[in-house]
Amino acid sequence: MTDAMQAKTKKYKWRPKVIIRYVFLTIFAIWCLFPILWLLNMSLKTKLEVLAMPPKWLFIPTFENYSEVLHMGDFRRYFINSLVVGTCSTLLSLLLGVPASYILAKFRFSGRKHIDFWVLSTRMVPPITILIPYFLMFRILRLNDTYFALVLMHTAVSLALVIWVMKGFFLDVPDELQEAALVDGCTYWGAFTKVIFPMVATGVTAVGILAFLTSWNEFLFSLVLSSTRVKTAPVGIYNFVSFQEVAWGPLSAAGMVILIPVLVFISLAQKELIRGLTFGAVKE
Amino acid sequence: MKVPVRGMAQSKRVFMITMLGPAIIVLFMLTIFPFVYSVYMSINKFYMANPNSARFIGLGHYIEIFLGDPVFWASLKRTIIYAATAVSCELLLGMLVASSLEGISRGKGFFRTIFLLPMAATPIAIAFAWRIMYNPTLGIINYFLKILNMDAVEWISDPSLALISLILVDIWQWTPFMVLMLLAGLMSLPEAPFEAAKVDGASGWQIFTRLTLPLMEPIILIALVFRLIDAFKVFDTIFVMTGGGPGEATQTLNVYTFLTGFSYLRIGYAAALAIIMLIIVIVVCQLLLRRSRLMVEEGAETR
Repeated sequence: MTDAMQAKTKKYKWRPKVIIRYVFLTIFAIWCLFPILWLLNMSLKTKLEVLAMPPKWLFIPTFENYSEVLHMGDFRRYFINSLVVGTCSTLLSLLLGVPASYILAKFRFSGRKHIDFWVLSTRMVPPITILIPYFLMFRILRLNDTYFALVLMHTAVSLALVIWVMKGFFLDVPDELQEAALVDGCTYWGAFTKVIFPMVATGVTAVGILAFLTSWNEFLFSLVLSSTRVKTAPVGIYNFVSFQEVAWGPLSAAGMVILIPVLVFISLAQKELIRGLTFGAVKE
Repeated sequence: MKVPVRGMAQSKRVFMITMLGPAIIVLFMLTIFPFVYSVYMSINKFYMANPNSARFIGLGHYIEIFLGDPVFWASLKRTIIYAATAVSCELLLGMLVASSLEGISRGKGFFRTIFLLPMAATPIAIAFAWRIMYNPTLGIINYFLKILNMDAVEWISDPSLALISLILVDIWQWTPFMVLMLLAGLMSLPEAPFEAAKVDGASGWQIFTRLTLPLMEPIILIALVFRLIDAFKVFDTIFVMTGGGPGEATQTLNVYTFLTGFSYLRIGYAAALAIIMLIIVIVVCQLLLRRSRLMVEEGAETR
């Protein structure tokens, strides 16, 4: 008993080593936060304050940059496009990926390992190898600059991720549950929808968030496959910057607006995000 | 009794196919089809403006790339420098942060939440933030340098520094990924060998190199594979911050392929470049993953 107690008190003592660790971690945390905080700081300054040198540390925040950005008609459309593409591709990749990952996690059949490896390897493929042929094909089919093309490509990017991360959640469910449901007279479909699926609801949320963020942050496919009608927010902002190099205030505001979903998900679902962003390697 | 069993096996098969089939078809469409089409494009000469003008040239593009295209070799070299430097710094820094994080008892969750921000944030927003900070006259980084009595630096407009500046952004963005992976590895280590080593009087450094590192090799390898491959194909931050410039100073293979296809509209040549990128990725994956798989199997046998 005394050994355990000692170990515990030792752990909580503020030894110099522990203080150094905290100092180091705090510095690293500031380093991680600084660029985003600086963007926020720039977005709240007036046009003159943004260009002040030395930088003004104390100022009265203004929201004029935000209202400028949000009142540009096109901008709102870009955000709506991003929302539409993100939502559709998330739903599609969940619809395709969750059932597939259940089979890969819970059923034994020949060739399963090959499919597993194949799924993971699609995650490794350079997006540009997929983009070039699809760009040409969409051109021939006159599908460039449509939601369909963009949703399909964003699903392509997130599907492997959804299958892979979801598999971890299915593997956490004990096999006995499915067997018990089958013995009780459930069909396979019934066992999946009534018994297994409710158990992995958190997992589905986690991969859903991951798929949405993947689509929301995606740049390359959107840049090439959308020109005017379905332009997403990242591409819209990118075009904006090439025209107005020095409009740092509105630019920062646009950057902050696009970060809103990211910040919301980080504050609400950090555990799910950690698991998703590390491809299921980090479980909590 | 036989009939229901067979019925069961039958319904099981139907169930498996309906659940797995659609995803497999889509994945097939998204991998095999573009691969075959890319290979076809890469052995034909045609320009975006007129896709019907395809003319068969066999391995012509590949021969041109390997023998007559110094830009390809320069881009490849840059890509290797970028990936190798960024990932090794991320691994070292990540190890430091992860072991500090493992050694504290309170605030782990708090720090981990903060570390999520760089890797989850939209790359476009990141690229803007850094571009503003890197500005030579009005940027905050040069202001800090001035306080420290150092000369202003042309971060992304100086050809000799631009690549390093982009690597720094990559390190900022992805060190947290290494931290999370390595922390998971550290926390899953068995306690017994470490206690034994302490009893035997091993130093902290000895414990780290002889016990921690070998035990963590599988997760380190997996983290390295993901990071190396992703660093190899970074596009958004580079494209938005420098567009491959100044000159060609930050033109990685991915950016070069993109520009070839979508700016110079040499789509067949770009397809050949993309196929080469794919082959490089496959080779790197095979080398690193085979090693980790061998290790996992060996580990399972000795256990």
